[in-house]
Amino acid sequence: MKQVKQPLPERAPANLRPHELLLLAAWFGLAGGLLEGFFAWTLQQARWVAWSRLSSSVDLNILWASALVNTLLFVVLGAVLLPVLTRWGRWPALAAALFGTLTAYGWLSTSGRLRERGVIMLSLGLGAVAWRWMERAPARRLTLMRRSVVPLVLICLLAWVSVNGGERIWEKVQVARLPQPPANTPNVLLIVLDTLRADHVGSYGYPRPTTPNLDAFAKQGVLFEKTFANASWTLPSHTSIFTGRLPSEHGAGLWPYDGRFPTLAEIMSQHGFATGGFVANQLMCSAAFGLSRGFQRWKNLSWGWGDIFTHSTFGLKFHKLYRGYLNSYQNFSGMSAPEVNERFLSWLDGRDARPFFAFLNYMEVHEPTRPPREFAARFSDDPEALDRTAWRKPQKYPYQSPGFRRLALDSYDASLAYLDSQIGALLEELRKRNLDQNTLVIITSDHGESLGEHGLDGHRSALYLEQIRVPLLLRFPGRIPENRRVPGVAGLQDLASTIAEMAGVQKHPFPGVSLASRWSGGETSGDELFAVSELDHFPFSSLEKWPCYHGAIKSIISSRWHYISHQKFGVELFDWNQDAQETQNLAKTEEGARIAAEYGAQLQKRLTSAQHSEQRLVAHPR
Amino acid sequence: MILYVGPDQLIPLSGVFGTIFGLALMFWGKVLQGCRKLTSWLFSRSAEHKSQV
Ligand SMILES: [Zn+2]
Repeated sequence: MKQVKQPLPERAPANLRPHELLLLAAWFGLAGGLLEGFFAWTLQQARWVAWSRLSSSVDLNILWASALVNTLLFVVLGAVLLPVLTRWGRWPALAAALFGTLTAYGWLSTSGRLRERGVIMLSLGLGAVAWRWMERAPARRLTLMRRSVVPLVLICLLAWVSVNGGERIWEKVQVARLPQPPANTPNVLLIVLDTLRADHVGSYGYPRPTTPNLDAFAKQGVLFEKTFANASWTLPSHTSIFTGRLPSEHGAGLWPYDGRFPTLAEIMSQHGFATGGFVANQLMCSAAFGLSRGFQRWKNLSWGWGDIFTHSTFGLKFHKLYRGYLNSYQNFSGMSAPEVNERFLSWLDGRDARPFFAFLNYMEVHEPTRPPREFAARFSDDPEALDRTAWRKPQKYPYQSPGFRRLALDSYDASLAYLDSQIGALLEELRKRNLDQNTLVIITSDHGESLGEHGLDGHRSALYLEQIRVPLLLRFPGRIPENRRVPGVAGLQDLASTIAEMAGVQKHPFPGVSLASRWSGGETSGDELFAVSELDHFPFSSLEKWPCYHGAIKSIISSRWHYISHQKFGVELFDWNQDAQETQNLAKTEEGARIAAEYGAQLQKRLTSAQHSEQRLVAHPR
Repeated sequence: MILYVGPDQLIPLSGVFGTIFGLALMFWGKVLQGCRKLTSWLFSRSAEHKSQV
């Protein structure tokens, strides 16, 4: 077989004008970006992506978003290279190779799992294919691009319209199929202030003026003084709130929630509630993590420029650079408190008369905390410096230096004060809509935050008090007494049954006991109540300082004792009322050993349905 | 550990495979030429073998 060799043109034909390089760049950006978005979405649906990719939300908007980002980047790059590149006669082939390589790199990086060296080499190989493709007939190829660029733009627009319109239609269909709930069924608003530790809230005894609005809210209802999250990080804790199950039962943590138990939104939906989730935490609360189950509307991306930018391979790469450089992280994208409020309220105003179950999650006190200057100035002598502590894992600053700790603390408090003002604004909007009377409002958090205690920063590292103790406030005029404080221990896994019962859903699958009995006088101080928290083993290389790096941790806490059992380091016992910093481990004392044995048995009793994490290695159908 | 279910065992080899395929695509002409040479050499050998029988 003899191959017919086509003569390679030495120069691009005369009718090729240099500015057509921009057309070529745009074409690669559009076509490649659409495919990149499709790959990213498909891989995330199949969960065949690295943790770092799974943990950032993706929905179908990624189709047009990555095309937009790639097009802009490629056109800018094309414009910069234009004077140099087009000097050479064979510029179309060279440009095709360049943008082909970049496009291929974008595709091959979408899983985040392939080895970088292989990705680069294969991208260069595909770039060479693009070179040969262009080299064979540059004029014809450029004509093809000229003709297809408008249809490609239309496809992007169509994707944008159909994704957003499709969501609305899907929601309308879902709502139309709901049964009609009984008259006077109340609304439910569940608010999670992500990462809010209880002891920084005024009504929990914090001396700084961080939470005037929450404190006023607390006076209108019930406050649980000793509430504990079932995990010290977002995904398992939210799943416990939604399912009423402990982390070892529901299985969400290292793996997304697989839907083995019905969620609050699913049950509320079945009982005729309009359900909406407006969620700022885009790291763990994407649909891919299973928390959106049962919600007719779920928004955890604003698809503003930050979100658009971070939904492409190159945008993510830049984001990582930016994050390292500016010591910043998530606030590049994700919704701010005003955005969460706005999206929730516009949903509220657009729905029909049926009762709603809404879930709001705010990220203002999650690191990186970036309080507005006005609030920073209220809590710090050096408000400008607060920005530098946004991501509280400083490389440049002495980690545990008192000066740095002060800044981190001020930043947290100032952010909390800002968030509190936004919650105040939200509650005011509810009042204006006459929704404050027939609505059960719950305000809590999914976990706390270490601000230097135990040498730790952030959360998901241990189960010490500061990482699991959260506020819990409930208000329901006429149904919940005003200004009542419940002193005993409560765990967030009891929220599901509490909410279902308060909303009139008597038959529900949630195992917890409704907390209603606790404020209606059923609590005696002699009752021994416990809350259980769990944290998976996280053997990831960057976390050596974290206790969970070395083994799984479980904790059980009563109104006096806090028992923590670490897979490798053994047992700790703290008298947390006396020792709120949990610095004195009493497990080795004579009395402590006896109590620890008793608490260990209590913990075991409550974890009977715990499963080994190995059994969860199988992906479950969604 | 942080990876999800899939052909996980092949992931560590993605660097090697990517490099091999990438180089093959870059020098595709040479690869084809090499293949052609190889097949013609094999054919000529088998023809030689037959003629000897
Ligand atoms: Zn969280």
